[in-house]
Amino acid sequence: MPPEATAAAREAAELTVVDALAQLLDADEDALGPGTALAAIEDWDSVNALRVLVHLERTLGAPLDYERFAAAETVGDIAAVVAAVSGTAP
Amino acid sequence: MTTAPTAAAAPLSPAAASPLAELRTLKRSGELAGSAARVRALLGALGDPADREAAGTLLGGPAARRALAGSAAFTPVALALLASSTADPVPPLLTTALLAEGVQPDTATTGFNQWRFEILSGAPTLRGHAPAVTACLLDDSAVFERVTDPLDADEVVARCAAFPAELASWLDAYERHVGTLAVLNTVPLGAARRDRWIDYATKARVEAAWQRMNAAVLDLAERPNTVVLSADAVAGRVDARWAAGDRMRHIAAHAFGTEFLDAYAREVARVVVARLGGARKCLVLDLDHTLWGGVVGDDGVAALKIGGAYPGSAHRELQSLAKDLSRQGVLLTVCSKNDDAVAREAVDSHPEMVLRSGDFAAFRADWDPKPGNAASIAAELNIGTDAMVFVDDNPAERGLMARQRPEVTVVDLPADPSGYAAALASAGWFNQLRLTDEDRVRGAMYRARAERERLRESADGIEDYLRELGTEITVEEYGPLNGARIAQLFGKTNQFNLTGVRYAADELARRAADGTAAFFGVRVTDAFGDNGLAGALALARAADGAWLIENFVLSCRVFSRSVEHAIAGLVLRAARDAGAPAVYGRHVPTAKNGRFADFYPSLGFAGADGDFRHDLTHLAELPAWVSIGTGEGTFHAP
Repeated sequence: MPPEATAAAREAAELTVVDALAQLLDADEDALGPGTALAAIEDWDSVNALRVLVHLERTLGAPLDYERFAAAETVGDIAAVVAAVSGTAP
Repeated sequence: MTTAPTAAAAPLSPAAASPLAELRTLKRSGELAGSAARVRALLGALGDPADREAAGTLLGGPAARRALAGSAAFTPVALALLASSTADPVPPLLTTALLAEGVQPDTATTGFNQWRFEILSGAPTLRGHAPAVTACLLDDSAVFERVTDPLDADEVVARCAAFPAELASWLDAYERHVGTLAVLNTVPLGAARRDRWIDYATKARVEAAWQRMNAAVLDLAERPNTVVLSADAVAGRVDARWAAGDRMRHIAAHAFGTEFLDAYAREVARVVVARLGGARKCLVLDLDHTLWGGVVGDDGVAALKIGGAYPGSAHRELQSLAKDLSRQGVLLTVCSKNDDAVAREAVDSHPEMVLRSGDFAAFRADWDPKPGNAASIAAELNIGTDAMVFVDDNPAERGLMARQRPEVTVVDLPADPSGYAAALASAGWFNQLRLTDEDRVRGAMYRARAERERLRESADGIEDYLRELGTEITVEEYGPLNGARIAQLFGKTNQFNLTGVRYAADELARRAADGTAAFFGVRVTDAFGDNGLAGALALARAADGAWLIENFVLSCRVFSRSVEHAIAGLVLRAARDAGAPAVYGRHVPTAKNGRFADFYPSLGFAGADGDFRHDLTHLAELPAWVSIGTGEGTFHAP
């Protein structure tokens, strides 16, 4: 298991994910929070999920845990996957 | 860590936001419909394939589609994409590439790896969609899916030998069921397949069979209505490997990487633009620091850098490219801030110049702003400014042109002249489906035309001018020798194109053979030379036995010289002599043909709203200054 991210890293990761959803799916960033269900976002489907994955990996410059990403149900779940990569640097 | 988009916070300074963020803002605020030129500029500024895909997704959604369609600034076109791998990024990438060109695609797709089944089962998805162009993107799984043992080199070699014939019968079925332009590609061999063999003899044997297969796939481009792209050339254009990363290959069944797919979508967009008659026709060239190094007005002719060592070699390379473009029908023009005499002396006297003043269809060396000069060159050559490509080393001149004449294509030259020729060549603005003999001599025809213009200025009245011009027209029935040119006239003529109907080569052949239409070309010659086949007509038969002019197109080189009146007069006479009760003519407005809305009424046709009828009782005299050649053919309905 990766170490838990700090609160600040977690918040930064949420912003990254919300930004990606806004850019790629034209979702309204003000309406998105960690508790938002991905299924409730317009146009969220397997193809767009993949676009979000590619976009996030490009932004972070590192691969995400694909199995955790694929199992994510909320914006917060994806943010946790992002924070596991971005928030643990010393 | 990225920051949130700043567009919403700073709407007054769009330059500060990324193009993608500005597009989102335009969409959110409902301003897409009123911002067509801005949308095109923003899309043109997007370089990163992921951003281009996101922009295409953004503008391809139903609401954005409606808004953009409502602006009437985009030509709608139905397309189809088939693929043997996952190609989800391609439709949005096509949307981005084509919207930047003023074309709004509606791209139908079929399920994963349905390319073969869709067509062989009668094109159930595509037929209703009626795509003008269908792109079928093939990867090596299309070959290997029928190989039982991928290590068995004998089997792979045999499969490679059989594949081109299989694609040919796929094209036969496509022609039967859909019948429009198909775009195929050579199939790259993936590392995961190639590296399976460990002995060099087998590696070489399979590679040879694979390359023979791709050569035979490229030969399919000899078929009508078929374009075959070289996958290597597409990948080479963006300096990217074609293959998807191994991760996306496994996660998403992607065969191709996003960079490649973006380059592929741009290339398909060029094909679509060419199919829609949007290939550019004219190159507008700056002189100082562009065609040569140095400033002739300051440095003198002898000091100009052309040819020899770099940077002279780079300027000469650009000239040589321009010369080769002109040999394929692209019109060359000069638009330079210089004194006319100084500029012409340099062009004609410097020993290393590839281009001389005789190579240019128009020459503007003065101190007027370039956007206005471009418009006056377009008027002189009777082309639209949207058919022009502007090449200038000065970013300020490029920016001015882009702002004042957004329809002119501005080449984004790199700072170093060594990249000038490549920047112009790789963009493919002049790409066409097929060249004809007319294209190869167009430059000479336009120079003769410039002579005619000078005569017009010296002749007293327009009728004297027309008499001195000694125009003769000859009607030719459609046949194998003129078919390609007639298809090209229907395909490329935008202004004098009365109904906007474009007939592809195979459609001409089919309808001529089944007797639903008769097609004709009209050759125009005058005292200054042969204008070649310059007009084309499609005649059909109405239910009441009357003749119907389905479409009538005339090259901009020859209209406004009464040629169009003479041709229509010949149709009316032929119809009357054949005992037809009437001739119907139609004008369907397009973006370019508005000035000919009253063409039929001016000939005595009655009617309104684009539907006209001539009862053939009183025919106007044929223009006295146009003579009619005999012996080649006469108009008739099918």
